[in-house]
Amino acid sequence: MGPDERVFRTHIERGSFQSGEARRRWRLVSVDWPHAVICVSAAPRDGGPEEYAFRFDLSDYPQSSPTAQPWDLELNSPLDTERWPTGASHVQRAFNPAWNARAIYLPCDRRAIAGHDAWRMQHPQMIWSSDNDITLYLRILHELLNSSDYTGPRSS
Amino acid sequence: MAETRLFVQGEGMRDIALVSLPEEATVRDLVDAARAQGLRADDGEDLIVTIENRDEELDLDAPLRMAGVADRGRVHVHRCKRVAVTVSFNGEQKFNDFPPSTTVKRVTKWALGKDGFDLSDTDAADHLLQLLGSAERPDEDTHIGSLVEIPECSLRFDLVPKSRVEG
Repeated sequence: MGPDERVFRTHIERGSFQSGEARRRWRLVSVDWPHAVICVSAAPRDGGPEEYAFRFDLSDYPQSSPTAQPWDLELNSPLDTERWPTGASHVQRAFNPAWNARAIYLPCDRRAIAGHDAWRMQHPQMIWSSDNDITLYLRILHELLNSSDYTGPRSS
Repeated sequence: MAETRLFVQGEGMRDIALVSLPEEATVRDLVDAARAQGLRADDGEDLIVTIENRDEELDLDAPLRMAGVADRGRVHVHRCKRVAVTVSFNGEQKFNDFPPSTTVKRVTKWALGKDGFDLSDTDAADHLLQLLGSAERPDEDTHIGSLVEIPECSLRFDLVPKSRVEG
């Protein structure tokens, strides 16, 4: 087991991650390094699911920030973009398959932060550092999927 | 042996600790476990142990179950009995005090509600608490006691708009 996986497995046993699971904000589904699938609960919406699964690429964790994509648990493949979550404004911007179908448009995402240096000043609380753990990313996802802006899946 | 797993926060502990104790453990055993996780309090000092968002102080010699602490329960250990909270918004300030086991979520609810700044539902959904003089926005699960240490049993927040990523 490499050092990145070892640190991740330590983090998911710690209080912050376990507390979120206990409050049903998120739940670990699987770890197949360097990937982990974690479901994040969503607010009830017409035609919407109780949760969305995300597959994280955790290469070089925690030195490098994770990157994540919505995931289909049944097919074990990327989620059909019509089933991605959406919203009126900022939720739609975050979950934008037209920008990148393999990442989420957030400062904590490794693919998204590239080319957005201004985000480091504008959104410091969302910027990943090696002192963080996976709950930073999960809390941001949970806030989006439970915000008033979230309207359900794109197809509904 | 059956165990009780508890989520513990406390003075000097910036992260939630998950501790495992024997079922027959006492509240005092919980305090010892918290010290091993970074609780900032010496042996012999007066400590207050409370269940999350509740006022009643637990008897240190009581077994956890008798004290009302269940498996996966959430507790707080601190030397402050109460934390004086000041929230600033649009040039105004509101004041209140809470047990150290109070979550940021509960303090936020007060600040947004009719006894605080009385924001509309729409505005309330777009605001949160930020520590005064910093960019730190504590998670809603954080107990306010973990943000203060004796002798400073007080906390100051700004009520600010949530950060939304544009482009």
